[in-house]
Amino acid sequence: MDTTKHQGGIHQIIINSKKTNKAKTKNRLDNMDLIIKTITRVMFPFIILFGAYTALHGHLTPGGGFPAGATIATAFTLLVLTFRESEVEGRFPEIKLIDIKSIASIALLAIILFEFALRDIIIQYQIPMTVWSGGDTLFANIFGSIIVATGIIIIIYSLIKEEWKQ
Amino acid sequence: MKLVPIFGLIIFTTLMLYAVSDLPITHNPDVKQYYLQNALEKTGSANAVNAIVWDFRAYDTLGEETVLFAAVIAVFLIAHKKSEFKLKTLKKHISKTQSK
Amino acid sequence: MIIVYSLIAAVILTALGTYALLAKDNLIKKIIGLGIFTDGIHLLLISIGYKEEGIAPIIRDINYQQLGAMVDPLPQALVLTSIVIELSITALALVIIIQIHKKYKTINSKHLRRLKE
Repeated sequence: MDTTKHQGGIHQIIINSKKTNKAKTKNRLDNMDLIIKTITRVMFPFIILFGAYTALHGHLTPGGGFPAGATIATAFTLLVLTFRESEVEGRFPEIKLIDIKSIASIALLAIILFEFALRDIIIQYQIPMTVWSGGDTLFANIFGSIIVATGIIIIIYSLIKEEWKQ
Repeated sequence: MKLVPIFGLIIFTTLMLYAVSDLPITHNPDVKQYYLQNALEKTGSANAVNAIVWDFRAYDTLGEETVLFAAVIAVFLIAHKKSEFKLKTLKKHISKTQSK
Repeated sequence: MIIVYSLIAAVILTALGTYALLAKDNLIKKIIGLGIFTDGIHLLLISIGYKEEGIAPIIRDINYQQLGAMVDPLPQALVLTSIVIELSITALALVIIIQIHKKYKTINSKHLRRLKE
């Protein structure tokens, strides 16, 4: 009796696993593999860190505002492709991203419009060839990277949302 | 077959080759020297490309950011239907930010 | 000598992009053709600033003297601006194509005859 029950248990487990496999193949986008999920979780902060480094050192090393924003947006693209889009959007909602983008745009507008006056004032207090240098370009890099990153994230949200509806 | 595209392709290629063969490759040394010599003194940025993008030709970059902003807003508005635009959540969000 | 190859490659890329824009009916393939065309233009612009054995236009010390060995930074800055414009155009076109597919159930430009009738 015990052995049959045991066998039945194993058999049922196998059937159940087959069922779950079928369910997995049905909507594969919803349930990604465990390896992909873990690697994404590990790599996400490092990609953000590299993007921040590219933005902050844009006036000393190759890089700048646009590559930094594209790098940060790549991390979010990885997140959206791996997990469900609704989960990701719950933590980083689209409306707040638009708010951040608008504030950064206004800051960049102010920086660029008053650059001719601000530049000469800021440079006096800075040390050349260090991170605290570059005059206006340091702040412009930071705000430009925020604008590009939020823009690409909003574009990717919109495209992926359309894809999953059908 | 598709004769018109092939005809257009041949015309375009000959014109492009003619234009490229006469291209002056002696890049203007005055502009280059000005940018390279004044990048560190005037802007404080050691990266000359960064100095050009955000300082010497910053108005170009401002216009380009405007294009990016307009494209992103257009994508957001086209991708969301009217019913899915969630006017209620938008109004809630606006009232929250105003009350703060 | 290497600049001749680079210019020829730019001509080939722009020609391929033009052919894709003219001949293909699929709208997605037209967008890909536009991307190839833009890449050719970027290659053309970058090769104008080419210099033999040139180094990147980044100053390493305060008393750096080798300014003559650097490549021209101006085309690089212009191409950097152009890439972002290309990104916005591509994103807008793709969203419009998605809406076209939702409404007409096709992305073949020859089957979109609603405007003609």
